[in-house]
Amino acid sequence: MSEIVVFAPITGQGVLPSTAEVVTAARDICGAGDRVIVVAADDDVARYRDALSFEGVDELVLIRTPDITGANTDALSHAIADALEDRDVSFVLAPASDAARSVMARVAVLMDAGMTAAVKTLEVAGDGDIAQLKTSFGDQAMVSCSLTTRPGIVTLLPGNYDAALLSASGAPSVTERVADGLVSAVEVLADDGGAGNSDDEVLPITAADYVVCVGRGAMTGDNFELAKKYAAKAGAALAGSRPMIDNGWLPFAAQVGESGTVIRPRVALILGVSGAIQFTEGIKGEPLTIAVNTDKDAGISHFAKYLAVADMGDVLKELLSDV
Amino acid sequence: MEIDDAKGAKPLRLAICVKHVPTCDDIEVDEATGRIRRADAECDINPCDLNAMEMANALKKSVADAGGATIMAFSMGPDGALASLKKCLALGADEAYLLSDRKFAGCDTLGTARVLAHFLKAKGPFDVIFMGEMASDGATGQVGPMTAALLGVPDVISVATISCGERAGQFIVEQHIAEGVRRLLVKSPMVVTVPFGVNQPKLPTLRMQMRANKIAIPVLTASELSADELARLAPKSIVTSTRAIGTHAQAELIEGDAKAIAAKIRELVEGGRQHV
Amino acid sequence: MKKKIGIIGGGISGTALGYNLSLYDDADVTIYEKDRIGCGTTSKSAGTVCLFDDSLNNRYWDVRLYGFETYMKMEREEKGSAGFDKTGTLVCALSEKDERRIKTGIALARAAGYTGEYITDKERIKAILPMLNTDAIIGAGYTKDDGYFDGTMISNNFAAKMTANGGKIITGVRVTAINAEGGTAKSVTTDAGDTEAYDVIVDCTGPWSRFTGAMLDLDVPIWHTKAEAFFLAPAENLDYIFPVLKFPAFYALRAGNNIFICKSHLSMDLDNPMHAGQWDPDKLPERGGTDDYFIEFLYEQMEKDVPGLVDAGLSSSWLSYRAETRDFLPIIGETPIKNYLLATGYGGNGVIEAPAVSRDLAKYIMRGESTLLIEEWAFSRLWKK
Ligand SMILES: Cc1cc2nc3c(=O)[nH]c(=O)nc-3n(C[C@H](O)[C@H](O)[C@H](O)COP(=O)(O)OP(=O)(O)OC[C@H]3O[C@@H](n4cnc5c(N)ncnc54)[C@H](O)[C@@H]3O)c2cc1C
Ligand SMILES: Cc1cc2nc3c(=O)[nH]c(=O)nc-3n(C[C@H](O)[C@H](O)[C@H](O)COP(=O)(O)OP(=O)(O)OC[C@H]3O[C@@H](n4cnc5c(N)ncnc54)[C@H](O)[C@@H]3O)c2cc1C
Repeated sequence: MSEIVVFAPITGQGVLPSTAEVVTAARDICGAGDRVIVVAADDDVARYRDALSFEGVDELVLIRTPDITGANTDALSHAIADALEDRDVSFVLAPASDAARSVMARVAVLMDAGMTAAVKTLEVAGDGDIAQLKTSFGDQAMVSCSLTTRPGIVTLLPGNYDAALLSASGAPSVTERVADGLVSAVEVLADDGGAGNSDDEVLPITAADYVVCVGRGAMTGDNFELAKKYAAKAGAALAGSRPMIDNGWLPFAAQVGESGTVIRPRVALILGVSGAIQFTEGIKGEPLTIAVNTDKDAGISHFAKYLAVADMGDVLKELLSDV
Repeated sequence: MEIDDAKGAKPLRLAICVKHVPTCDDIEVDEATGRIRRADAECDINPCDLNAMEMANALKKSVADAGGATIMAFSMGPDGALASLKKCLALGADEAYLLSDRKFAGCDTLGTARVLAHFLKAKGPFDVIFMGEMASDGATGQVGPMTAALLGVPDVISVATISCGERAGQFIVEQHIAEGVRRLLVKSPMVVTVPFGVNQPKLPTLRMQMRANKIAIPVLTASELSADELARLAPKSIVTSTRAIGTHAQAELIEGDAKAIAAKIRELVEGGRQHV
Repeated sequence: MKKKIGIIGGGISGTALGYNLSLYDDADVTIYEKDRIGCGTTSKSAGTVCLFDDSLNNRYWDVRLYGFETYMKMEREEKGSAGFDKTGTLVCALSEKDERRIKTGIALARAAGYTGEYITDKERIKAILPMLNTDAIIGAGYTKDDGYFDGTMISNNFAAKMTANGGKIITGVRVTAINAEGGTAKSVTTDAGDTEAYDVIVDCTGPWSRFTGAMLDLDVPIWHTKAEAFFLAPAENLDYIFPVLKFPAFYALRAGNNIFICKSHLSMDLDNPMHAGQWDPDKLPERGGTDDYFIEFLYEQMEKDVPGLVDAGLSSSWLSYRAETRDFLPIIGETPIKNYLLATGYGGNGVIEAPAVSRDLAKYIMRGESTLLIEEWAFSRLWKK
């Protein structure tokens, strides 16, 4: 019999929603007699009791950390490692999120535990070992990992498990702890969520998560205007291939490619661009790439993940019309 | 106290850790070993390490009239990583060290952090240790916080800016969080990890590259670690198998009329943008 | 019956030839490209087609002019379709020999109706390109009329025109065998598993032609010279037109706000292993791969001649192989194997030369008419030696 611990990060907006998926993952690997335990730590942790009472959880451990919150990972990690020290824990699972990343890495050091991060799914192998499946090299390889320590620490990417529901019957058995005397070298001055003062130095196309790239196909009709409108509506940065810059449609800072800028968005919508290597070299980090081109054989069809063979103007008009 | 004032203080000692990562789009998996053939892959400095380097340079520049700063670059990896260290030198690092040994080859993130922590301690102390947020080939972002924990210092991830605080040994750090930006006052020493895109890294110039080509980069090996430290490098997260996922040599077609295409694009964009 | 012609390679050589052949009603043309159109050497090219410089001997002036005018015609048909950037060119003379060559080139350009002048007033030279150091220069030829083109765009354009004329393009498929019987090439086999018979097979694979030639046990006498190119980002945005700048050892052009710079192909020594060898172009990295010695070379040249670039940022670099012959001229037409023709070895001049060569080679294939160019650039000149 052992315990599978789910670490529930508390952020400025409360319990991180993807924690519910991690609870499901924990239940999935739970063997006979194993227990699932949810652990959270915060200055005001009691407030989150209901939000942390998931179905199928055997125990909820609430650690009150006076004056210590999510930003104080140096102290928070001690509180968690201490709480787990005397327990027989096989796995500590947490959402692969910025809110848990530093804490879990530090807990791994404190407990000298092996850690596999950004895992997609867990698989119970024949010998009872729990394998961690994750992608590597962008999305180019799938690796299977195994942890040699007990406990082992695993962070899970969202979107691979259904979210566990909150328990209708209220909290499971709750253990409350207070972690006193924690010291942190970090002091929060402002947590207003306001924009930092670095904003005006940043090139929009390099910082945007969504970039709309237009090429010479945008030079006909009102395609360019439509693209501009759509980018504004979607909160995307507008970028262009070299001809768009050379011919004065967009400023140089918006040129993607070899002699322009390298971008690493999450998503790139590529409209009316043929896909010359000097252009595609400017898109890195394996974003989701969607191309619209009238030519189904355009070079971009070998680069983009999705291709729509269509007039970019028609597609943009549809994208702009509300559904 | 007067001497506590950041101005007129001792020179800052800054460190930066960088990783040499494959950049090619097509990876190959060795059928026999199930490992990725790194030797054949094209490599370069991990992209956000350049943002970290830029931030280190900006901090150095900000104290130019107040004691100045030195920057030491570290990279753990095979000989190829010299190229990434050279890039740091060309960008203004003062010294660079390659941490290279066959005994380091099998390290997982914790092992890597142990090696880095050892040499950072040996060459330290440092006021601020900069690292890229995540390696583009592993994308776990653990090494920074782990190194910090091993050194017993705080870490701040997703850092947008760093500047000197009112007193020596204090820094104002702005951190990206899901809700926006958080301002922190952090006591040094510390580790900060820097994501891609928070600043615009400058390029090395021809002159600086020439200078960099002439600076010797010492190679530090496992012989500097104790037997006990070496024993602790054994990986605890082990890759048991690797397989290449068929990459899309040909795009998947989105079918239908403009309306259907727009609907599919909307759906894809929404899914793809979602914050981790 | 139509003449069936198979072209291997979809760079500027293969597409220009494909287009020229497709102008003949009785030609049935297919291009095989293992990757994408214009993605090989052509994509790494500077694409300069200057009215006068040292890249191609003035003896072949009509080749140069025909190339330039072919692309200008493309631009007239559809602006931007050849990627023309009209920056003009400044060709610097370091010796009297350079000066004579430049002056002849200017005379030829002017006779064809273009402008061009030879300038010795150093202040005027500096006015054209302020970041230059004119100490080592004795004079410079200057024209406003030319500039550089985009080889990949041109290749795609030729390819589109050829398909419009009924030609066929197969991309993403590699030719793995050229099959011959009794000394005559008959068909090609691809990695898609198909074998197709052709009346004529033309090898337009540039630096790969060593390997395609070997499929027929033919030693195609080309060497690979390293073409190391750098993009430099000047410290300040350029507020003047930066013309194509030609020095005997290197040349530079403006691409966006960056300066693209590479070593001139005629400065390469085929017997120096730092410069040339016989390698596998498939192993070339897409970016990077340049040697440290090149930084040194560049630094020395810039410090001396273009000090304004010493503090420019190194934005990126690439390494490519130029396919050169011993005399730095291409190999066009017949080979010892019947019906297997070559259009390769363009070295550092493929963009300039492909239109004129393809015009003549198409005529030779379709009508059997030889031209001076086909004779002077024949394979036989190399194998007799
Ligand atoms: C040294 C060098 C550096 C370079 N650097 C860069 C660089 O940094 N960035 C860069 O982008 N390029 C660069 N280039 C140029 C590059 O080679 C290409 O020529 C350029 O990217 C082509 O731009 P494009 O795709 O917009 O135009 P085209 O190649 O003309 O493609 C236009 C595409 O739009 C499609 N289209 C047309 N109309 C429509 C419509 N209504 N709806 C949908 N699709 C339509 C067409 O089918 C075609 O595929 C460089 C070239 C060189 C030689
Ligand atoms: C840095 C640099 C600067 C240059 N500057 C200039 C300049 O300013 N002016 C100028 O005129 N020239 C210049 N050149 C030279 C010019 O770019 C080349 O001469 C020209 O691009 C060669 O074209 P190509 O079609 O012969 O070869 P490539 O463009 O290499 O085309 C060969 C094609 O064959 C394909 N292929 C190979 N093997 C097979 C197979 N088995 N099956 C199917 N397909 C195959 C390849 O994929 C490739 O696309 C420069 C070159 C370089 C590298």
